[in-house]
Amino acid sequence: MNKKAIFMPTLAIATLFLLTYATYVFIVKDPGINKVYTIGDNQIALSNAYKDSENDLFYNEQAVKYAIMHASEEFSNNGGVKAGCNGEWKFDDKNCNPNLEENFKEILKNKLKTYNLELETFGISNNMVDIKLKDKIYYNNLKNFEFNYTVKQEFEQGSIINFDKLNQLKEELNKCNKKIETIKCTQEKPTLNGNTIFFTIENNKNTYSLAPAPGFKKIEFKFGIDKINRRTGDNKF
Amino acid sequence: MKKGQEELMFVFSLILIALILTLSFIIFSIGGKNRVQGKIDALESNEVNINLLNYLRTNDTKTGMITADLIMDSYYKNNYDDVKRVTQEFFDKFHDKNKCKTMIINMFDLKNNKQIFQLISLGKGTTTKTNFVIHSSFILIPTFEQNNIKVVYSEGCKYE
Repeated sequence: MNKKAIFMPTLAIATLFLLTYATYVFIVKDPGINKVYTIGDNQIALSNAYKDSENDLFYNEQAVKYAIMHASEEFSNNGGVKAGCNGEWKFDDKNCNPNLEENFKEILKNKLKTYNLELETFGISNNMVDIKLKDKIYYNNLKNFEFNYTVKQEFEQGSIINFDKLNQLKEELNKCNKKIETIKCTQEKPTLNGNTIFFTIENNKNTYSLAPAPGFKKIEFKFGIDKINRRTGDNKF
Repeated sequence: MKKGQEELMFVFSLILIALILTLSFIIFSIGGKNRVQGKIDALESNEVNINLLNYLRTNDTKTGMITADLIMDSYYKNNYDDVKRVTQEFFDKFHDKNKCKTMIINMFDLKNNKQIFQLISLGKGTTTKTNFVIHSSFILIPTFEQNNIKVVYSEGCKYE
């Protein structure tokens, strides 16, 4: 047979054979290859970690905001001291000492726990509450690709309680001389009820509350000090 | 072999090669397309997630609350009028009705898995067979009593 005559049919058969074999190898033999070796798996994992972290950060930001609102209401209802003190400040008493930041921190810590969040550091300056939660790590270990994405959980929220004003009042009362009437030690106007002098500090900031009806409301910070004990000198007041 | 037969065989072989190459091109094109589809989906899902976060962070001038707080407040008041208004404003501002046939916001109370809110915005040409791809993203937002609300945002758009 003429060599020229068989070249094209041979080429056609060879091409058919090669491409059929290629189709068998890449499409039929291992159809799962699409799932395992999808182009961009690593990029997808990384971008999903970023997406998850953004969503978690948003959730935590909201939870911190609500926890501060809850804590501020409870803190105000307690008058800045522990629940058993009936809102009465006693500077010499270990339990009812108005250690404002520390008492607020304890309440906040418990409120955050209800959202499954762990408070790591806490601070108040210029009526801003700085909160740091435990860092969250997003981890993935794919073929030839491993990453640890650590996200810092730091939040700053405006304080609903006017800590600057309260601390100033606390200092004035603490330094108040035994022989001087409590009323004269501060510019704040107290009210007298029996043997207790009450101070009410209002703040213009709103907080959310479910009682008496759901909605935003202003909270009043009210505390009292014992008038008689102060005059007789049984304690600092 | 006669010269006439040789030429006929040459032509048939040429047609066969062209046919095989065309078929292979189609098969590999379809096979190859599936491999990169996942990558495109994931990136577009991320864009949808950014849209959802922007929606939840949008500040409502009437109530002074961001949408997430507004949802929480509406949940307790069992009145979603403000959420509906804010969501409609979001749709009006961002729904390109030629590009996206639909935008949907759904909300579920995870305490009892009950749907509490839904708003749909429809685009133009919803009856045509244009290839729209639905992408969804969801996010959990806390309520005031440690319960969670799941907010799901879906958009069906044409992607270039």
